[in-house]
Amino acid sequence: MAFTTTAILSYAAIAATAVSTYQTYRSNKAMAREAEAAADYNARVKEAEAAQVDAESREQIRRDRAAARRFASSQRARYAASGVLTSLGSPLEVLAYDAGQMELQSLERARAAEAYRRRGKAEAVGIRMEGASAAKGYRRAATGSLLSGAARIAGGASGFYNQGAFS
Amino acid sequence: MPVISRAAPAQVEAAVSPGVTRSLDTALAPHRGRLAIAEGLADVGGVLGQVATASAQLKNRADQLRVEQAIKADEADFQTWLETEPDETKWGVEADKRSRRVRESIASLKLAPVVRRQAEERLGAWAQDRQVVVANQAQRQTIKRNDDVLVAEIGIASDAGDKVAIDSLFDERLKLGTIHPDVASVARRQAYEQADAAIVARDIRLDPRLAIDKLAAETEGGKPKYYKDMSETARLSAVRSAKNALETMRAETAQEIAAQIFRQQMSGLDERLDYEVKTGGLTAETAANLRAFARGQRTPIDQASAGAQLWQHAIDLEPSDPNYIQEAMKLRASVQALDPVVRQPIIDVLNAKETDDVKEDTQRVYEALARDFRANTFGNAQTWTQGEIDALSGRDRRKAGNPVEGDPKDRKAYEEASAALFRHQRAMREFLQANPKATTEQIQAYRAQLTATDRQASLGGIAFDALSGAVPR
Repeated sequence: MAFTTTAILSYAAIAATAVSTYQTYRSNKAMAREAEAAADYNARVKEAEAAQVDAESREQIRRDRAAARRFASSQRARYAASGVLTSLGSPLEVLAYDAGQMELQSLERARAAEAYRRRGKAEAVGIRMEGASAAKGYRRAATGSLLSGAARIAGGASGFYNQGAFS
Repeated sequence: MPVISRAAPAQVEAAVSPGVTRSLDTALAPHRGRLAIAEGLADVGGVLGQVATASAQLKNRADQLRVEQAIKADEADFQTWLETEPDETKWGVEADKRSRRVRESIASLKLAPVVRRQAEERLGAWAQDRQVVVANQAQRQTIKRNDDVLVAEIGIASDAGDKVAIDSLFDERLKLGTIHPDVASVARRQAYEQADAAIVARDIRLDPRLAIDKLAAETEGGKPKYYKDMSETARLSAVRSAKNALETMRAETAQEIAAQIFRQQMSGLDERLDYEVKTGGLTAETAANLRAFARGQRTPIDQASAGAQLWQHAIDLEPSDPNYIQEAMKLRASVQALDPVVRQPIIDVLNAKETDDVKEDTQRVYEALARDFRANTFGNAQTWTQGEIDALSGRDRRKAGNPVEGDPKDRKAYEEASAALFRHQRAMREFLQANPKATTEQIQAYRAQLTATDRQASLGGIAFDALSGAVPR
């Protein structure tokens, strides 16, 4: 079967459309994957940041509590050295008050760390959702490109056939 | 939970470091570039497709033209065929056959689907249209043939002078609608006129004298009494024809009586001549000449003189003259009272004028020379004038034979000249009949030779000279 110039051009046009469609499909799919990967990475970064702040806060609370205990011991020792009875009256109140204040401070720090950790988790979830949404968009675009490419190929082939371009 | 590629977790685990995030735009940039390349490729495909479509359309246009050309060629061929096929019942079948053949020839072509569909639609419409057109043409042909028959019958009726038949045939044409009433009115008048012409022709053939009378007859109102539908031109022409016929009849009668005289059948001649004069079959003059001829009262000189005048008259006659036939027939009747020797050259002149034996140019030269010859003989003949006759004494007048004006002074020379003239005339006629394509130079050379011979060999030559005054007698 001898191909005419018209036939060669027709086949080339359809081939170009097919390759273009495939490349568009592949690109969209790759962009979907890339969007998910990037979002996951960024979420992990957020989670890592939250975990780090949490760990640092816990360590700080532990240290604050140790310091509070040391302060209470030293305060009691100072009271004892000065002859102040610490089990009754005002000294006891001072000791209790200081200990309470220091524990309150630790608790405040623990609450702030927990809030930060929770926000980091929530942000990671949001970032992942955004990534998933973008990936879904790209996947749909890939499907759309397949459909539009198929339509172009079918329309072009039909037109070429009707015009007798293949013969 | 989003799906992460197999490579991604390891990369993320390996690469994660707090505070450092990845930009989505940067991540997608290579793929967006590939997408742009794909779009470019799609554009290239579109352009290639446009070029391919344009190229295919060019070929398709050529194919469409080929289809049109096939239709036109077949249409032209079919019209030619129609002109050669008088039987219109075959037209429809032939049209279908040809349409099918064209369809088959188009079907055998390698055509694009769109062109094939268009061609099939076009051929279908064309075949259908042609079927209708051919059916109409066939119907028109049938009507035309029927009308042609009626027209031919009208012609026959006109030739037969049957006006009743003409009326009924025209009524039939009007019923068929093949002729418009206004046109029919004019055509009917023409047919009537033709019928009258046929009737008058028949009357002339039967008896020209009666036809002449009927043509001249008028009503009290001054309108023609007979042949009422004839035009004035046709009437004049009919009168001329009738006179021609009358003179022809007279010439034939004179010829018949002359033949009777030559056979010496004299019994009843006078009665016959009287009867012919009375009924118009002969003029009184011709009858008198024939009577004198029969009684031997026409001398050779008289005959030569009369013959010369008639011959001159014959020479002068123009065949293009509308009255030529009448005049020629009168001449033919008159020459019957002459001796055959004198008569024949005159009849030859008339015959030569009425036949195409001698070419027109040769005839023209011949007549010019004949006139020249006559001018050299009779034209210069010394004839008596009235003054000369009056000047003569009674004795001289008797001695000269009591001449009248125009008589030759030397009657013997005149007679001899006439004889020589007729001899010369006959020789020239024979030469021209033998050499119808003779050039002017050849005719003149022969004439010079003839004249020289004639002068040496006959008294006629001397007579010419004497008459023309060239040689004293």
